[in-house]
Amino acid sequence: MSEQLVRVELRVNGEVVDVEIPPHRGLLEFLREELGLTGTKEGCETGVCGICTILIDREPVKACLMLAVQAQGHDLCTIEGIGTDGVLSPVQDALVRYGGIQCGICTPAMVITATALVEQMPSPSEEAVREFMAGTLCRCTGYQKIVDAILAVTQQPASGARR
Amino acid sequence: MLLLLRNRLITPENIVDIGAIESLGAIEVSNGAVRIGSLVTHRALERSMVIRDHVPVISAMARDLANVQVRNRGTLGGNICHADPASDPPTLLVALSATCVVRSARRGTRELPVADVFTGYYQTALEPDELLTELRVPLLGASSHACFRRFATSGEDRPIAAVGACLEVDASGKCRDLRLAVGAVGAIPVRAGHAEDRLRGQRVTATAIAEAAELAVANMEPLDDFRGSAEYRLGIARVLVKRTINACLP
Repeated sequence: MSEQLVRVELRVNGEVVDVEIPPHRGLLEFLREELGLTGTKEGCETGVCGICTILIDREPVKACLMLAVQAQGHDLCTIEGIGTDGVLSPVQDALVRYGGIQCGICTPAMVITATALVEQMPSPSEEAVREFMAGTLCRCTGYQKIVDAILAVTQQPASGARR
Repeated sequence: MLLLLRNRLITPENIVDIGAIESLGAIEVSNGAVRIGSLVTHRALERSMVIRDHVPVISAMARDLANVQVRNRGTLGGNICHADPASDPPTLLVALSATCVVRSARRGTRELPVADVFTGYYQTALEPDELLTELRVPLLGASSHACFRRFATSGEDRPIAAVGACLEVDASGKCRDLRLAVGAVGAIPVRAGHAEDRLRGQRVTATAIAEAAELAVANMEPLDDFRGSAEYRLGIARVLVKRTINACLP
């Protein structure tokens, strides 16, 4: 591929990012290496495990299957953009309280995906939660406590807080 | 595409992003067909009221496709052009007698049946200078019902058999028309013409359905791999044909 750089302008966690990168740069590598946002993890790198999940325009997508240039003009949210220093988001707080975390490698992706779920589905059934989360794999927990945590968040009255 | 690039299965000099072409993202009904732009994502299909109102079998298929992250990025046109034998949309679109609209700067526009697009394992009849712009799905008549069923040995795995059926039954319970497609078994989805002939004009009984299922799997050329032997795939396909036709009954 050509060595010519391409300019990419996008928002990441509310901040404008305006850089020049090789056109073949993967989005996951771009987030982790160019932007230093290592909260999003590299797993299978083939779109199966989902631990690379981020939000683009508040929709969950797998960053390992995208080129960085495809994010041009979009609004990205990574795990670093969820919650603020010292204050966990409702999803993060519930995962901690319900014990839905063991090794933690899938946790950023679980938080990201669950955050989108909570924004899109006000009163999901357990089945709907499991289906929405099905693209993000966990090898440790057996999923039940993650599902319980998400259901606990959705059964609360809307707090209006998005992050 | 990223998977193909990563595995060096394709090594293009240039990649052109067509994502900004808004007209390729439209879903509308005109001239007796639902017209789906090639860049419509599976997520958009899943959420579309137009699709739900006119071809609900596509809504159901899209809802079950992969997972929400994949559905947010994957497009129907991209799926067709990739021609993955285990993928769901090709089989269903063949059963629905869908067509593809393909455009080239030099040679203009052509429309061809989806069934003719798939030529082999991950291969299509599209020329290198052609762009798939639209999928067209003829509207179903009031007495027609379409269903799609797939079978995988475990929930998230690639299916080893998929069946799309579109059945029209008259008031007396006789089959006026049947379109039946079997996919994921072989390299491309196939119309089960002999099975369709067996049921057309006949009362749709359990015996007739069972005979049609036998005809559907006869002369199939199944793939054979760790997900299922050829014999296993045919056995599953036979059962799946029966279940899918049954699901179409009023």
